[in-house]
Amino acid sequence: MLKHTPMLKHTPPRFATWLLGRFGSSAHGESLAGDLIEQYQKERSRTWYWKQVLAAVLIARARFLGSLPWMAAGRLFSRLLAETAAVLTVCVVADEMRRGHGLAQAMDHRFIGTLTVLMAAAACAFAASRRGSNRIQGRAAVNALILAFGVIALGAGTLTWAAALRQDPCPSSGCVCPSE
Amino acid sequence: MRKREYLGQLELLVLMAVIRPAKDAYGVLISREIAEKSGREVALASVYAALERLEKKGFVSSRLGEPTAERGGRARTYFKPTAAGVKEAREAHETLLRLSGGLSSLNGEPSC
Repeated sequence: MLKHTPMLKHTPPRFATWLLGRFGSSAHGESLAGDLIEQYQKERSRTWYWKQVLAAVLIARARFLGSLPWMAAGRLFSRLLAETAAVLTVCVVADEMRRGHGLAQAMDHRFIGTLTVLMAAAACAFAASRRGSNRIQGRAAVNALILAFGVIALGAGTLTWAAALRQDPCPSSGCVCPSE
Repeated sequence: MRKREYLGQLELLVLMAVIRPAKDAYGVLISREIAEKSGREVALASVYAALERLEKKGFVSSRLGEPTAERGGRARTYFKPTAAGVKEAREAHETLLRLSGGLSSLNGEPSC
């Protein structure tokens, strides 16, 4: 590009040219601006120039919106979900230990179901957070395995939990449990 | 295996307009070619957006020319088709011919 802008026979609308430079940038933005000026010098009207500039700005903005990292945001959210589920799993186990129940005593259907659901949710969210990432594209098989484990564990956990709820001797409030 | 890249309608028009001229094509020339042959006025920005996509897909290559005074000191970008681009355009053309072959309604005859 020349160091200074040479004098033009017909100067195109300055504000439109500024808009194009400011909001219509693309890989060939300079060439596009040059083409518009070249055409304006030869045969085109101010209206034509403005229309072309507005089209360029709209197209550039649309392409910018299309390139926003929605996928990256989705992966971040999944990762957050995975970490929350993992922390909840640890909390559930720690709570059982704090209450003085040994792990062997705590191993009832409801506890196992809760743990399974939490671990499955963590695995699913973790796998989802890793999908589509450039860094681990070569590990698709591992991701698929994690996802499959997550789905199976989630299903098994839900069934166990449902079974535990059905066997619950205190299904509603106001009931006096024999153990209490 | 490399994923097959498909062309949109505007991309195909632009690719064919890039292939057509004997000398290097640039934005204005390509836009004019499309307008003359298809009767469709296309914004220069759309042409450049299509050219960028074609370049990413490896169907055209570009080089920067010299800046000129009549362009306000801005250089032209010249485009030329790559071998893959010519092959893709040929395949698209053959597909269209095969699809349109025997369609009586395209020849102005009643369809039934």
